[in-house]
Amino acid sequence: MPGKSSILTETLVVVNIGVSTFADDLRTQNVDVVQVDWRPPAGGDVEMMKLLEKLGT
Amino acid sequence: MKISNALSKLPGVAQAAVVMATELNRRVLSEAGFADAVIGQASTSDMVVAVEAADGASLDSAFAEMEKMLKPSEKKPGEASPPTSLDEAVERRPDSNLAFISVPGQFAKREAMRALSKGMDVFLFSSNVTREEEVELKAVSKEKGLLLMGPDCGTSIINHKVLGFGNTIRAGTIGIVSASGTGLQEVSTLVHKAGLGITQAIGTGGSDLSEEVGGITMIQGLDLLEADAATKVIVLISKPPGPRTMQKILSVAAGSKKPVVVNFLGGEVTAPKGSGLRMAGTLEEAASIACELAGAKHVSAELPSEILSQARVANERLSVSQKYVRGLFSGGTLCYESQVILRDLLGEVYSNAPLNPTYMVQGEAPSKGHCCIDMGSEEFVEGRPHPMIDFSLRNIRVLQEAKDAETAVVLLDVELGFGSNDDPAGQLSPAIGKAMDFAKGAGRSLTVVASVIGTDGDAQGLAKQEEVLRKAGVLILPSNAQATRIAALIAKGNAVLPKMAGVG
Amino acid sequence: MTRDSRSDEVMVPCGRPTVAATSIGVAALSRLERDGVGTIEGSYRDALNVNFARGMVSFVRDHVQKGPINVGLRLPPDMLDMSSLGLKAGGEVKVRGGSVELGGGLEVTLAPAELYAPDTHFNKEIGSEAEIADNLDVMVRTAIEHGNTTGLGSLLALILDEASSLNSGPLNMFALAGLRRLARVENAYGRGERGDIAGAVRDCIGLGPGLTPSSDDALAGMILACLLFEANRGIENGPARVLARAIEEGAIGRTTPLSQEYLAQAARGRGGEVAMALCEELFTGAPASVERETLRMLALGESSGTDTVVGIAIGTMLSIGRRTRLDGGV
Repeated sequence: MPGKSSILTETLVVVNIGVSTFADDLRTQNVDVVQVDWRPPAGGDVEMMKLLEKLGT
Repeated sequence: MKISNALSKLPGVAQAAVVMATELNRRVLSEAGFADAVIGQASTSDMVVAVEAADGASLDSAFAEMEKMLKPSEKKPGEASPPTSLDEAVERRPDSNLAFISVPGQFAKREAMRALSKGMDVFLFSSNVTREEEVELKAVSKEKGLLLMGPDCGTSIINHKVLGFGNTIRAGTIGIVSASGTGLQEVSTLVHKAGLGITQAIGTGGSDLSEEVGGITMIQGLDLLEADAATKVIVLISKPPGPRTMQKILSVAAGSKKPVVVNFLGGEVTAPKGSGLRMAGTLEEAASIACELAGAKHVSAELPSEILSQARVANERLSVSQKYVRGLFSGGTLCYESQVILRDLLGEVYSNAPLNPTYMVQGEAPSKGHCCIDMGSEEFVEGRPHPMIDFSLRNIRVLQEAKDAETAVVLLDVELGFGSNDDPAGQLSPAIGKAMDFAKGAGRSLTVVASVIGTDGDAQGLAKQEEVLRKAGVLILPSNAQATRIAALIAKGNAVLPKMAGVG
Repeated sequence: MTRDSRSDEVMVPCGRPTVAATSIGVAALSRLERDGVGTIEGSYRDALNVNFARGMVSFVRDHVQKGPINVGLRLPPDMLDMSSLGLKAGGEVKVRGGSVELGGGLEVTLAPAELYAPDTHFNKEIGSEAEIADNLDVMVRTAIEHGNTTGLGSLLALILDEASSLNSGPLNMFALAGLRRLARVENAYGRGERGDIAGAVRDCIGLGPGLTPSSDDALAGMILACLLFEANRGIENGPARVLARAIEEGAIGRTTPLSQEYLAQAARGRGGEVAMALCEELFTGAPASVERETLRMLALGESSGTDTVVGIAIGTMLSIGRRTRLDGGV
């Protein structure tokens, strides 16, 4: 997508990946947030994850 | 309904409206030339999507887009599972435009890359992302014209919404780009305290201005604020950047048509000749120059005379052994700023994040000489909540300083706002009370000096927090810089005065 | 800065999860006092609207502002939003002994809820006309700068009486249609004739985007401002009551059920938390607090917040005896 970032002129719609209290704070400010129930990829195995990335998955 | 926004942005679409089919809306739509028959059949509980497009093809793609947005999510009724990935989340909310990422560092790059590939801006709170990964990420964000705030970015205020830690700041005309979270908090709250306000405060992450990264996000932030009509003054904040990066930033900033205030804390920086850039030595100065440029009357940085007298009296009451300033900080940049000021007034300062590497101390070791400890650094924070939330370690440390016969004054920063404890003053007061009682019992007069980084818009309430601290005997100053100067005055007495800015 | 995550409360769903209501509006309370059955009027992301014998109740996620017909709920972590309850219009909701069976396996206990019963009397005295005019200026300017113009927001520049350099953008088809209709309401209010007011209001209901159409939000804002002004100035039998009656009656059948409810509540001087706070600051507060509350208002809904500000602004002008420039300029 060429051109400048548009979030400064748009309404924020946030996807929160990680600690859920950040989403709570955003909701307090009436920001739309989708909380992701994140799990580490490849069962948390960083080496495996790197391999999978190399394979493009 | 965000559908109308999304549709009106499509190529070939002149206008799009999403309304309930009330009698009046049906009439207005008919008069505006939208299909009579369809509208005639609709009733008040029906929703009408009306699209005016340049040609049939644009109209078709608008309706295809609308179908996608209205498609119900795949969940079965009664079964509500939150998305387990960014991809799923974006399927549910295709209008998502920002990813807020706070997963463990080794997984952060992957999430951030995915978000960028979907055209989303990123707020990357995670730390422990390697420099290499940061460079990779920012090469992509730069190419796509997206903001990557981070890694290790704790604070931004975008469209008056706080991301991460941060304070509720009045809207105004000052825009900030900062590589430091607490620096951003200090400057933005000082702007608010001066009665002015901000447009945007863009965090770049702590290592954006390293030589490898080259200030990519800061430059993007600068460009965005340059293009933002509401921003009239720009402030840049960072610890001293790498030399090449610094030149780059200064030259981009010099090309701005708007006044730019630069605070590369503690660095020996002079503005390029004729650049029009204003260099500030402290966060406090950066805020006050910005406010003047934004139209505020010049406010002298003079310390109020009652505070000066209190400080002098406190100095006179010190017992012979009491010599040193002991700063205990939750904000790393404030720890840094205080060191810069104290070094000038008192001489070298020890720290676990020192200006001068010779004066390095371990954070958990007892204080030595004049000492500024960053209690938000790794050794304190591993496996525990940050000191802005959990005061237990800092409270213990305050008492330890009180027990040390060489401590003349304790210096504190107290952050309010999102991400901070619900009642920092309430957390600190008992410990401060105990500390002062202990010192008194040992025949010493101990002063505690603090600045509260916050506004009355914060849930904790600035006025209330300051009141609670004052009741506990704390000397409150409106900025970290002023609190630091007063601490120096208390420790050293009148000898310090000639060097001190803000003393009339 | 590494940070430990605060421990999240994890609710393991087993059997029927019970959720405590965190807040309950005064009208909602009276509607849920007796056992009975309600019918779902609509299920949305942030709200579940249910019709009971005595009126509508809106069950909302607790980050939504408090309001007279709202019941705020803290949903369990595995429930994304209200629409994930899987409920549809026409479904049944049972009230029994202070508990509400929302269906989707969710039961709500009302007892712990904090009552939201907005007071029409302000904590401080109303300021002078000049002070109110200053605050009004701040509110309108803030709304022009930060508001949403998909509804009636582009009319903002026409509300203040100086022909200033304010520009709130081109008028969309709803703003164009709304312009003369709101001017007609203003003129009728100035003359104080019940018949005129009723006619002007009827012609102004249900216009514009939103589940609560823009003109309804504006009328709600307008009547709140007028009623609160009169209540705090000790004005009895003022024109605000005539306008209130006209709005409550005019809304019937001409707009969505939810909007009808909101208008009825506003006509009784009961607004949502944010609207009440904004009106209070506007009439008694300092410019900085007006700006802060205006920003909170603008953040509501899509154009709802901005449209409500339009109405509050008009109502305030009327209350302090000034004319807007909606009627083709002065």
